Amino acid sequence: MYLYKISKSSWGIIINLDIKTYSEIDHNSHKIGQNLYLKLDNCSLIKPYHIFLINGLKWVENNFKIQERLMVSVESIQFSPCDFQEEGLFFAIASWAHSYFKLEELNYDYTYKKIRKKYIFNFSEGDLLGRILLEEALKSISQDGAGMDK
Amino acid sequence: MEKVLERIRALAGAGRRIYSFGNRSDAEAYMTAMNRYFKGNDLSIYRIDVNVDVKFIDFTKMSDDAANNFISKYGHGGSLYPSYPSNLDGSIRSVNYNNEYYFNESFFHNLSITKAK
Repeated sequence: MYLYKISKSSWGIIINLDIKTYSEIDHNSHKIGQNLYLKLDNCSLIKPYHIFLINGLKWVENNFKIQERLMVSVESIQFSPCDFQEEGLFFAIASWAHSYFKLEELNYDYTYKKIRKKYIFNFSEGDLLGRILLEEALKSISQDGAGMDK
Repeated sequence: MEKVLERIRALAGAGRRIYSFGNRSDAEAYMTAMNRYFKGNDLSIYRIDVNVDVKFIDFTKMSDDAANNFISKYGHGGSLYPSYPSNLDGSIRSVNYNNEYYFNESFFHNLSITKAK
């Protein structure tokens, strides 16, 4: 089980991911990069939020090369809505990849805006890809209506 | 009551914990969020009455740093939920759904739990 946690207050973002990797590629999986696939069928997360995991892995995919095809399968995902923000899904899977593939430090930081009760994420200067991918995910759920009451 | 607790534990999945809120609408907002994010939920709302004094640590009265330091020390390490020192029965936190009242498992026997109408 991989634990992603950020906290600067009495609440934070805490996400538990159970991830397995396979050399066989499931036809329902999402192609992330040349040899990298992501399977999300097994986890209970509602589909509109899958884009955060897909884009989070796409964000870090350029940082490593794998010779053989690999499927990353999210077997389960757990979080409490009390300690959660959608962006956390994006950074949780990126952090898992960082740990699994032993990548260089991920270049982002976050601050807590108490008045808005929200964590604000910042990519390093020049990391346009990260910003675009995260914005795409946020826009997607806002259009879908999934995150309307946030 | 034990039956209800067993049911709550079963619904909660892993570990033993009770999440509660100050009023029904906050609990409903939490349940709505669970259903927004996860498929296959089987959630119900229960009413909790407590007839003894509760030794809560109230994070709403602490600075962000102090609250974060305490929680980092006692909770959330490797699990989603805290395990506070034995002199505490639980905590009050300001979270996405107003205040959350968390009870340690050791305090469960003091809770009166009935299914909300």
